Order: sequence, then structure tokens, then C-alpha cells
Amino acid sequence: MAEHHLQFYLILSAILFTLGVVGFITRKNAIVVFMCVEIMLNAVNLTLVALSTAFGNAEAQVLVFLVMAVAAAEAAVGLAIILAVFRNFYSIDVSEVHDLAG
Amino acid sequence: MVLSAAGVVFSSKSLNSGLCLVATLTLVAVEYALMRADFIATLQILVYAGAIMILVVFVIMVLGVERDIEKVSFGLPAYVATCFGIIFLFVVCSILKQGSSEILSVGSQSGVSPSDAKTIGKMLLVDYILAFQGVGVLLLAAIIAAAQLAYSPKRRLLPGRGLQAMRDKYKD
Repeated sequence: MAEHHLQFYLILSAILFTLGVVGFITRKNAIVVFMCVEIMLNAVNLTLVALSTAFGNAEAQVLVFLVMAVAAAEAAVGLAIILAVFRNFYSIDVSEVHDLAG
Repeated sequence: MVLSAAGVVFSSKSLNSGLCLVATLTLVAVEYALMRADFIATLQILVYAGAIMILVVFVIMVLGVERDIEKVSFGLPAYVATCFGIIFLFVVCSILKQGSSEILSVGSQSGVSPSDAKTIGKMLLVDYILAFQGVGVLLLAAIIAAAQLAYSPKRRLLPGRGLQAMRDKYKD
């Protein structure tokens, strides 16, 4: 791999992660917030795979596999939570869902 | 890829965000394929761009696309978040530029090990068997939890939650 490729991939994943963080903090729609979490996870996966191919070590790709499986589990549970919250509050606005009691 | 991720973050409609996320995940899989990590690229298409995005788009559709109440208001929190984001990005990039010269000198010597399914599978089942089985248990627990959360038996509607109340609330 050429010398500049690794740097390019790392900076790209840093940009993706930053976009995910900005969207996670800013947006009010719960589903878009969840999608920004997925962007962050993908940025981390991109870093892992880039470093794995640069070092010639396939163990980081095992970690990528496990992170993807955990992200799939988190997607299922998170979306079920969003559905349950919507059923009780009739809103997916994260600034409106703020009372835990009742 | 940066453009489609920006589309996820800054779209005003949630369905546009969902479609931009599909594009982002597919482009990330293309990046994996360019790095010759074929196993991970295939997994990315299957798991992320396939299964997770189907779930997300389904939930977007179920919760009502026409009721996209959010006007993406770029008030004070958005500006603060963007400033912190730019500072964070600057810090991360300067660290990467400093540190990657040593990383690159090591990396170019060790060559490329095969990252096909056989190598990764063998490593999963021999070295990381505990993590592998643990993630299996985690997936089982997550499926049970998701099914329980989404289960809704017939229950009495509280006053103020009925159909007429909802019609009045969203009459705009």
C-alpha cells in the first residue's frame, strides 16, 4: 500500500466520525440520531480495516466482525426501543421525551 | 462518502437521511473492497447495508413519513457542536499526521497477509472463540429483548391518547 493511502483512510474515518458526532448532538429525530451512531461505528470499522491491511495483521478484522455483530444487535434493540417510546409518547422527538415518571 | 454522510446528518426529511445512510454504508463496503478486505466488504453489504438498513427504513415508514415535525433548526447547540466538531477533527488529524510516519515505516515492511474468509474464520474459531460465543449470546439476548419491547397486547387507552385526541393533536 502506498505511503499516503493509510493516512487518507485514517483522515477519512476521522471526518466520518466527526460528522456522526455532530449529527448525534444536533438532531432531534430519534431515528436520525440512531443513524449517526451507525456512521460513528462505521468510521471506527474503517479505521480498523485500514490499519489491519497496513500492518498485514488480520486480527483487527476479527474485531471488525465482532463490532458488526454487536452493532446489528444494538440496531434491533434500539429500533424496538424507539417503537416502544413512540407507542407511549406519540413522538420521536428526543427533546419531548423527557419524563421518566408515568 | 463524506457527501453522503453529510446528507445523513443534514437532511430535513428522515427518509432522505435513511437513503443517504444506505449510500454511505455501500461506499464504505467499496472502500473495504479497495483495501482487499473481501470478507469484511461482503459482511458490510450483507449485515449493514442489507439487514440494518431494512430495519431502519421500515421503522421510518411505520412511524409516519408525513409527520416529519422536525425543522432542522440550526440554533445555538448546532453551532457549538460544529465548533467542537471542527476542533476535534483538527486535533485528530494533527495526531494522525504526527504519528503515522512511524506507523507507515513499520507497515510497509510487513507486507499484506491474506484477509480472506478462511484466515479470519480460523482466527475466530481458534483464538477468539470466547468472544465469538459471547457475541452469539448477546445476539440472542438482543433478539429476545427486541421482541419483548415491540410486543403490544391490547390495552386500555388512557384518556387523551385516543384516536380523536391524536387527530386533534396533529391537525396541522
